[in-house]
Amino acid sequence: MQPNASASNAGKRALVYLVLALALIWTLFPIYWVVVTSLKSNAELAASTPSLLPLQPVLDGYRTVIERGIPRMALNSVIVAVGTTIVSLALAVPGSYGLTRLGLPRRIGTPLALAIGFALIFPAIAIVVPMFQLAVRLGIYDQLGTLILLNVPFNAAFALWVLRTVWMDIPRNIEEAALLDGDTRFTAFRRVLLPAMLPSLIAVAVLVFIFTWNEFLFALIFSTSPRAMTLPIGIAAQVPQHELSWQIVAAAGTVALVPVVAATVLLQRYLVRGLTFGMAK
Amino acid sequence: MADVRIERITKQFGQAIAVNDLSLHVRDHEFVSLLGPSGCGKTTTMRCVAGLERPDAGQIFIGERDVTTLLPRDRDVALVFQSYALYPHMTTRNNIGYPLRLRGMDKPKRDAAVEETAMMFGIDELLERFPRQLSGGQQQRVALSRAVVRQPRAFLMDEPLSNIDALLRVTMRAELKRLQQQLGITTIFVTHDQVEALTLSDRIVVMEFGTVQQVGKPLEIYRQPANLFVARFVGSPPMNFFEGELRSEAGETVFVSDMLRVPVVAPRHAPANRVTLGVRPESLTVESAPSDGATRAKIALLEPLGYETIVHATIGSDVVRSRVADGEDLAVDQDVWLRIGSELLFDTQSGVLLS
Ligand SMILES: Nc1ncnc2c1ncn2[C@@H]1O[C@H](COP(=O)(O)OP(=O)(O)OP(=O)(O)O)[C@@H](O)[C@H]1O
Ligand SMILES: [Mg+2]
Repeated sequence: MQPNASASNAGKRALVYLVLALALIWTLFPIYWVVVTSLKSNAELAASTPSLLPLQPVLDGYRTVIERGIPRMALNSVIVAVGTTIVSLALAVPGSYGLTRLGLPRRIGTPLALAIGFALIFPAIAIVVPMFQLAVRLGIYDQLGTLILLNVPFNAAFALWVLRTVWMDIPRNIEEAALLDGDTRFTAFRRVLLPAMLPSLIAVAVLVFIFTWNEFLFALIFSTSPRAMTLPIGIAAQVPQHELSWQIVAAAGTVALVPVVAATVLLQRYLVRGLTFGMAK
Repeated sequence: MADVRIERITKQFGQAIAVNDLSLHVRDHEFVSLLGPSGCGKTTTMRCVAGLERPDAGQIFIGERDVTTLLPRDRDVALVFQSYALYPHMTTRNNIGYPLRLRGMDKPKRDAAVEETAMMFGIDELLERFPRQLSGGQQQRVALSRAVVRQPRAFLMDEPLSNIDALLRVTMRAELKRLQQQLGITTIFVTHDQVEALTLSDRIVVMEFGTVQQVGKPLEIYRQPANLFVARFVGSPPMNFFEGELRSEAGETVFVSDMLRVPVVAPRHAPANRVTLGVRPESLTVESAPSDGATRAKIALLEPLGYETIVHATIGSDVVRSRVADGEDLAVDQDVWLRIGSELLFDTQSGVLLS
């Protein structure tokens, strides 16, 4: 029985690895392909059978990307994404705390939470035109701050919605223990509750950052000049200009990938813990 | 250390009255248990003392101070929660040291105090672990250490033993008793386990519907329950009850029901219409032959527990329970004769103890 069992175990394990390998290829290959493409020469890209590795890596694509102002757009993207993350969390952290801990009656708390949840499914396209008119009227059109302002509602609602469940998973007794140990409501929040929810908070921050980093619609409509143009717009702009150069598009795409990959790798520990959002302890 | 005085507090949640005009004086150094069925307001009472709940009416004093409106942090009481409520992101050391840190104690002194307390609870090996790396019993000791370390004026414990397994619970019970004797901290202990209450407490407060039914020493509560509720609630197996009336026969007072005729000591207070006779299972002896004054019954069920046997017997349609030291010669369906050793009389209507 033993050998049989271990044989079937080995078979099962092989299957698991196979599935994992396929999933990895499925997710990682496009990333690999973008990076490799950005390093290939135009001649090589024109070859009818593409090679897995660049034969002679060149940096021409990156040179062009720099000439066309992509670094400035990357900086804009960073500013918008970081700004949106900070503002959204600054609203969502106390907001979600209040929604779950201030003892709101059900008939107020539930509709409030639902209204916030509604912001998540509201199609952005529906408000773009009136918002655009408003921005022009107010003279805040084509500014990074405006993009942050536009990104915050959705992301703050998202963060609040998630953090609400995080709060609900942190036992009230922990806060009460801190109050008895000598904390005030505020210091208990800062010294006990925030640290206890930090992994989830970081996970939410990374998600908000990535959402904003990828955001396209607002950026497309509300920025026209390089001073407010973000990376997704910049990359898209590379496509129809003159002739289509995969090398340049791939180089710009690689630039866009860097922070996302970096955040994922650096904060992986928190992402894994936080993304379960306290569901399984 | 200090005494705790609760004066006529009431706490409502919407329509539900959790605590109803409750008064209680816990003396300095005393260990008092709040005992009662689920939902009778034990936790709410305790949370009012801790300051986590503000009573709608009434006052609470700790020592000489009226703390009714003070914040929890200004009351200097420690609470051990049923769920322990350890800080998940802190090690055992930092959990225990947290109240000291908030009092501004410097690190070397804090560490010394933490280590001493941890030693007392046998968790000095676990100081660098996080709560999730501890077993339930260990977490419980950390929670107790955190409460003890700051030497509060009063100790509040809300069913601290109910989340650990039966075997450990017995050990922890003894440990708690030793701890309280050693430290002498005024303690209010919530439980719905009567054995815990009876073994640990100087006095027991039996509660129902947010009110105090009786306050007394464990044996007082057991021997002289103030009313039918307390009589029914305390004791396992529960007291046997028979409904009937008192009659005077030839200068003697006799309790008479359909099945029973028992001479009783005449109660001081004039008995109301109907009375209830209460007999503890250990006061009901089982005899295998008829004799004068014994009542005939039939054994319905035997529960041998090793050191004693619980005999369930039927008198007419009533089931009564008796505990006997050795029940080896008893058998189900056997006819037996029950003799009442000592009994209590209650007014059936009001439930008040008459004897
Ligand atoms: N925050 C609250 N909101 C509404 N009702 C509450 C609240 N806390 C307690 N109650 C109600 O008050 C009553 C007393 O509750 P409490 O928790 O004090 O009971 P308990 O004696 O501790 O019971 P248990 O033995 O089950 O812990 C219950 O009927 C309960 O439903
Ligand atoms: Mg309770």
